[in-house]
Amino acid sequence: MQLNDLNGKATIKVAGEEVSVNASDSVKDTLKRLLEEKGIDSFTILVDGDEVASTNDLPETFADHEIEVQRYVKAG
Amino acid sequence: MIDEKLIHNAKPASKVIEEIDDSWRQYVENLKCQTFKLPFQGDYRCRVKNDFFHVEAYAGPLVIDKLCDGRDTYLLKTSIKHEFFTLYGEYDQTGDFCDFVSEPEIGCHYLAMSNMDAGRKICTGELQINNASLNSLEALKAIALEVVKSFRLINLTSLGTVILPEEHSALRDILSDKSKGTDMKTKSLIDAGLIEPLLK
Repeated sequence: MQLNDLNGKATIKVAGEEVSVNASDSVKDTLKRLLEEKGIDSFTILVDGDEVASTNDLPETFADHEIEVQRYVKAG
Repeated sequence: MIDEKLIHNAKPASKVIEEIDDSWRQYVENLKCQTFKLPFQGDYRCRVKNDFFHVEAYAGPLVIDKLCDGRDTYLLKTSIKHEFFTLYGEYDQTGDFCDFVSEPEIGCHYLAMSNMDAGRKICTGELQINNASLNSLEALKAIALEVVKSFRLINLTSLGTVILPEEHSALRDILSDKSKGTDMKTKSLIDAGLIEPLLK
């Protein structure tokens, strides 16, 4: 995430696309909304390069974190 | 005129010669059955199994740690880890790619497979595989990595046969319960404390 100090914005990556978000926004709520908008139902989340293995690993806000959502290819 | 003379002078074929001829034909047919065209050159492990030529495409650990029910992605509270997992590219006798198969058979098979395939071939689902492009070891290994990656996620919406180790029997039994739909399975898994939403 590249935090823009002037306007409090941050850039995250969702399924390969860069998305601008408010750095102080809730990670959980924002990602939920973005994933619903993009119709992504299978995914994994990377925080500072590490894959989230537990929901406790998810930070509250985007501030000071590099966050990426990768879409999972489903079998079936 | 010559043909008529030849036919007139011809003698019935010897039974011994016919038998030798049959035997030779059978030998050639058997030989053909055991002959495989190598799909590509390279330094790789291979084997012949069930009349197919298998090329080792991935050998390493297998992890299954996520589940998707068509709406949300969940984390398995206890990941399924298998230390030694091998994925083979399966080629027919003419050297054309057919499917991926694994050893051991572990994970989930999906409804898109026919009964003939069940329990053997790996259903790759959304992974777009161009069979003709799997004509090099590098290409095969690259797509095998994608298959192993997609294996991490159990797709609840298209679940067929579930093959999981005994220590994951609680998860396996819920996933295998044909009387439960997707929503009921998700609820049962949450209630049993086996999964949690990735975004709570």
